[in-house]
Order: sequence, then C-alpha cells, then structure tokens
Amino acid sequence: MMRSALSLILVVCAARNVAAQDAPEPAPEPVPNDDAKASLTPAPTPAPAASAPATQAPQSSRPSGPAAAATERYPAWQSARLVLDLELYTQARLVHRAGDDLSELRLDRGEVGARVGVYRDAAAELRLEAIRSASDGGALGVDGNSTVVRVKRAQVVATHGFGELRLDGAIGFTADPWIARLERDYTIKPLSRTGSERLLDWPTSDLAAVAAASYGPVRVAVSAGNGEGLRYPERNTGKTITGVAELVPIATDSLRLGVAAVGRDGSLGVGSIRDRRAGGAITAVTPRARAGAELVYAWGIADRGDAKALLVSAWAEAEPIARAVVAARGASLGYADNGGRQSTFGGAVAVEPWRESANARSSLRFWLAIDRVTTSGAAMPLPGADAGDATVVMLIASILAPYEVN
Amino acid sequence: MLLRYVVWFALAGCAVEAESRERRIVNVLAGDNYEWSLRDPALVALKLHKMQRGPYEWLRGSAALYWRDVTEQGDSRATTAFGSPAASRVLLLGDAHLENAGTFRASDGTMFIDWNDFDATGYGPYHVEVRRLAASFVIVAGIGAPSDSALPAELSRAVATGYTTTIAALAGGARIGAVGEGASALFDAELKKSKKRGDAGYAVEELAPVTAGVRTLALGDLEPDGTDGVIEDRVVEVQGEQVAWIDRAVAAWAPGKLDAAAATIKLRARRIGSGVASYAAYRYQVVLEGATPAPDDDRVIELKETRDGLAITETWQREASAWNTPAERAAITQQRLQARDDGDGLLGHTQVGALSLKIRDREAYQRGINAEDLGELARTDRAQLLLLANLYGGMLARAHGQALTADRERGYLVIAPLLTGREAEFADEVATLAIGDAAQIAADYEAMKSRNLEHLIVARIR
Repeated sequence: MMRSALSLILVVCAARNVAAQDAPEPAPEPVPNDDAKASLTPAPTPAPAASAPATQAPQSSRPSGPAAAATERYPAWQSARLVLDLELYTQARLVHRAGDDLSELRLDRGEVGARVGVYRDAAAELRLEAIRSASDGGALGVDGNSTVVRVKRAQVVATHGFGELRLDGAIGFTADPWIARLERDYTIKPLSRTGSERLLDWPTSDLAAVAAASYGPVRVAVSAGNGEGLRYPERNTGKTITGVAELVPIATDSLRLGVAAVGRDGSLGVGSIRDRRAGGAITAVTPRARAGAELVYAWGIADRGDAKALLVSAWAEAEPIARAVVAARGASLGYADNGGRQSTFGGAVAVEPWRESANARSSLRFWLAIDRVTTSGAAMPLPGADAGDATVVMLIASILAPYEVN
Repeated sequence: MLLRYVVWFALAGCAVEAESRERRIVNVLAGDNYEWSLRDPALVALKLHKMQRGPYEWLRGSAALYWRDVTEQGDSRATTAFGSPAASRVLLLGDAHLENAGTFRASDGTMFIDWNDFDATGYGPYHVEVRRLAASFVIVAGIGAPSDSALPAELSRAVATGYTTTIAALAGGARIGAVGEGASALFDAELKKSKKRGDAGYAVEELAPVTAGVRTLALGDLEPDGTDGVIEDRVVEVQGEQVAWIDRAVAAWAPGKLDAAAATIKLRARRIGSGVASYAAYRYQVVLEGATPAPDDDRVIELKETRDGLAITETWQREASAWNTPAERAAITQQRLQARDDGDGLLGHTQVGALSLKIRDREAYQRGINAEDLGELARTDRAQLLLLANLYGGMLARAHGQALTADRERGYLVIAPLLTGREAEFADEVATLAIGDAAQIAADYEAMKSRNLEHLIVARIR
C-alpha cells in the first residue's frame, strides 16, 4: 500500500517535472540590482543547483553554457527534496609524443550524486565517482585494473538566513571551497580539470567541516579538514585550513564578475609535508561568453615540502553561434629555484546537438580538442632525456544530467 | 590562532621555511610501506630497523625514494647528457645494486651469475639505473675502505666502462653470454658453493630436515634474531586461509612445470627475514613431493608476494601496466633481462585473489651476492673489486641491451647511439652523479639511523 502510494507520488512528481521542462521558461526571480532592470538580455532562470556554494551539491548541474549568466551573486540554497545528478565525460584521444603514438578510449569522469533535503534548511548528499583501481603504471588493482566507484562527497549540509546574511555549513566528505569556487563557472571541465587540481594536486574533496557566510556581494568560506583528500584518512595531527573570500561586485544579466582570494595552510602525509597556498581568481560571465583566470603560489607540492611554484591558469569559452562553442585554456606551473616549468595550452570546439532551452541545466556536448603539453628545465620528467612534450587530440562527449523532485 | 594566519598570509611571499628532507623521507617510506603497515605493522617496523643498520641496508630499502628524487619535478635535478626519449623506455631492473645478483643453474647444469631480483622491474631511463648500480659500489667502498678517496670514482667508472663496452659489443652484433666460472675469484667461489649446496639439497634440508625418514618443518629461528630485534631467518607455520592461498597458487602454477604427483604439496611454511625492501612481503616456502614419495627427491619452491614495480608516471608512457599482474611482470621480465631464460625451470606466477605471487625454485643453486664480501674486497683486493664493478656494468648493459624496450626495440639500439664515441664522458657523468647519489643516501641514513621510524611511520599509518 505504502509502496503504491510512493510510486504514485514519484510518477506525479516526474510528470510535473517533465511538464515543467516542456512549459515556457518561468519568469525570472526579481533581481535586486538596477543594472538588471536595464538589461536587454532575457533574464535567465534562477541560479542552478550546480552553482552551489562549497557546502552545496551536486556540483555539476550548472548552466550548460555561456548563455546562462546568473544574476545571483551566490547560488541560492537548493530547496528541492531530491536532486539527482549525473556527470560523465568520455573521450577518444591520440597522444603524439616522442616514440610511438598512443591512442586510447578513456572515461575521464563518471560521477553520480544524490542530495536529499531532510529539513527545510538541511540536506544530505552522497556523490560517487568512477576511478581506475590501479595506480598509474601499476597492475595491482581490483580484479586487474578495473574501474571502481568511490565516495567523492558524503556530507550533511545546512543553511540559515538572518536577513541578508546567510550562513552555510557542511561536514563530512565536503567539497574543497577553492576548487568549488573555481568550478562554479568553469564550463570546460570536459577538457581539463582546473589548474589548481591538475597541477597542484589540490584535492577536490576532503574530510572536513566547512562554514560559509555571505552578505551582499561578499562571501567567505573556511574549511578545516584532514587535508589528505580522497585517497587517505588523516595521517598527521595537523589540520588543513582553507579560507576563500569572494566578492561579486557586478551581477547583472549581461555580466557577472567575481573575484576571489584563497589561503591554505596544512600538512600532508605522515611526514607532515607542508601544503600551503595563496592565490586569487577572477571570473567573468556574460550571456555569450565566460572566462576565468587563477594565480596561485604553492609552498610544498606532493611529497616535496621544499618545492615552491607559481601556477598561472586561464580559460575562456564563447558561443558565437547557437549551440556551437569555442574554448581555449592554458595553465603553466613554474617551479622556483630553477625547477623548470610545465605547461599545457589548448583549444576546442564543441556542439550541443540538443538543447532544451538557453538556460537548460542538462547538457550534451561533443568536443574536438587539441592540447600541447610542454616542460622545460628541471620540470622535465627526466632532465636531458625526455621532455615529456606531447600533442593530444581528443574527441570528447560530455553530459550533465541533473534531475530534481520537489 | 587567527592572528597566526593573518601574520602568515602577510608574510607568505617572503616566507622562507626550509622543509626538512626528513619529512620527505618519512612520507615516501610511509607511502611505500602503507599496505604492509596496515597488514603487518610489526614486520614493517623490523624492516625499518633493518634499514637503520647501515647505509647499504638503507640503499636497499629506499629505492622508491631514489626514483622519486631523480624523476619528480619540483627541485633542481641533474641533467644527463646521455639521454633520449627512446632510451627512457628501456626495460630496467628497477633496483640495480650489487646484492641483487646471484647464482643460477641452467637446465643443462651450467652455473652462472645474473641479476636475481625483479620485484621492481619496469620501463625507464637506462642511465639512471647505471648511476644507481655505481652508487651501490660507492657505498660499499665507503664502508670497506673509507680512507681510499679515489676508490668511489674508480668503481663508478669501472661500472660505466663495463656498461659501454658491452653495449658496443651488442651493437657490433656480438651475443653476450652469461657470466660463468673464471670471471672473478669471488664469483667462482659463489658458483662453487651454490652448486655444492644445490646438489646436496641444502635449502630443502634447512627448511625441513628428514628425521626418522620423515621430512618435518624446522619451525622457529634458523638464525638468532639481531641485537636490534630484527628477525634474521624464521620459519613459521601457516594456517587457515594462508594454507588455502598456497594450495590454490601451486595448483594454478604446477601444470606445465611439474606433473601432478611431483607437485603434491608436502609441507608449507612462511619464511621471515630475507631481503630489505620486501622484508614485510609474504614469502611462503613449500616442499613438494618430487618424483617419488621418498624424501630425497623433494623440492622446495618459494611463493613471494609481488607488488607494482617501477612506474615513472610523468613520462609519456601508457598509464596502465604492460603486464596483467605484478608477479607476471616479475617473472616475464626475469626471462627478458637474464642472459639465459632457463635459469629457473620452475619460474612462474599466479594470482590468488588480490595476492600476486611469483613462484621460483628455492633450492640453494640460487644464492645472492653479499655486499659485505665486496666491502672486504675494498680492503683486501682492490683490483678484484674494480673487476667486479666492470662485470656488473657489463651485466647491466647486457640486460638493458638485449631486452625489448617499451617501443619494442632492442635496448642497445636506442642506447648505443648515445654512448658511441663518448664513453669517457659517460664514465665521468656516472662517476659524478653516482657519488652524489651515494652521498645523499649516506646523508639520509645518518639523519634517520637514530630516529624512531616505527613511531614516525608505522604508528601514524595505524
């Protein structure tokens, strides 16, 4: 009996959801900004779930492309009772480097998440990701080197508002506030992870407690966690503190401009290797284009506590014609003390063969991308022997598929 | 607390905090021993104690640190003048040092000397492995004849010269055979001893002597524990699931090696105390029935847990291993890197659940070279030590040169063009870098020899 009733509710909810997708776009929420009123651009739907702050999730159900310029400075609390989310990037690629070329098919990202609202101001999220079970170059995995699923996020999140002041909190396997900030408007994840994640080994999630406060254009988030990311439990007594301060001075239909600063102080592994970072980022989002840049100085990278390096990374994406996207990105990590430099630069074009609306949160894209990877000096994998330079051509399919039940 | 961070961020740009080498060592050793520390922390603690006995033991236990030092970005590292991308994908031993060689008996009864540890094999830059081999000689020289300041460079050059000479010979079309009798007095003595012991069934008798016509395990310590508490050689009875693992492994391995009757398991034991890097690994020794039920033709094999080998991940190699399991890699690369592929007729591999086991003949025909013997030569017979360094260099070149690289070329084809006509410069580079490597190993040992590594590493992992 109960099961039948539940099934009926789900069917009704699903039908309403489908109906909502078929219906004309809803009117935008009032935007407390005079610039918005003057804009000639149709206002988008409210900021989607994926633009959620570090304490919210799923992370990926952001607007599908440049057309979705959000007028909210910071993402609203998701009040849906159930949010399901699928994010999947798979590619065929050809790597041209010294020696034989390498061609392969890969699953770069396969994630599924569920967020259940347990109370008006509280929710629980579980997000899983697919990874290879053996380490790079290794054979010691699960049943060979099978792709296995691991927990990426498992957190309890809560929020409370005091007028314009909003407080958010999360505990568990939480999103790193800096990576979450960078990814909020970063729509070229299928091409590459952010510079901080890829070149500085910055973990996307950690066993941590996160607190955030937003007031008007300002938002501050602080995370205190193990610092070991997803791969290890805590291995030393020190905690890793990450603080992110954001400012969104402009948030209109035609432009949302955000700047952010980060500081991180922590330790890694049983040797308590220092893991310190300081940096900043800027993001600009317009209806037809978006771009971002980050600059981070690192003290300590992986097991090298004495390594120091400056990361410079930038990206841009534009939709010159409907359903066609061009993108470019570059990231360069320069080590101090004659440690050399490693860089990746690339470009891509993408098409979205089906898009329900300009502001649809679902997205299916096919990308054709090319990357050039170079190293110099002591940053070469083997100085004097192998620079590790490579040209990579990729054909990528990416899909974001969120689903909400209210 | 808040003030601390405000001050730190304010000073971050000019902060100069030299992170100690010690922390890196601890972290790398912790990573290298992580799974074993969770499974068997007491044995990992003993392994770390063993590493603290001397710089040579430290070298043996810290190969992971060595490779990370020479291949990881983030620090100013030595640039070689003898490298190329193709020569960075040569099949390597992964842990070439003078104690990783020993005696073998071929199927025709010929005794020979060759490399005997293939736990860490993988593709990588040949010149780094020449450096590491030379560094092991430098350390032995430092232990055996610390006042002989010229010896380290001479030994390094001897290794390099043996290497270049053999690569040139391979490039000239020569077939390089195994190192047999007559190469050096020390090798001859080892070959003679191992043949004598092998013929007498020394290993099976030591593990399980015959008493009143019945073979029984000699459980307990075959050698007394060290004064530092390290188990030197202990035979332990296996029970429960480990018996099942062994039975499954032997059943999977035996077809094609021995007939079913000969492969019948008679006794099973775990042996603890061998090695340094793999001290905490499972090593099972199994007595097999042999051709007849009588005890005098019983055979002993070893099933050794094998983990992933050398992986230099920043070079453009495949992310996946070329082999299905670590033990398969170790067994196959042994045959590719040795001079003869019949040095161990029982060599094989099998997988039991997540346990990857390399299986080999454990009779005393196979016997390792001891660094102490070479240290003694540094004091008493300098000329022979230099000859041995040259022979080891040649053995390494033969292994690198004959094996197929990751690009499926013979190694000498990609190495020889880099060395031809530049042999003396190569020897100079090897000497300079190997002496530097040995100095780093010795410094690491000095820094860590009195530290409580069990507390710093094992206890924190637990």
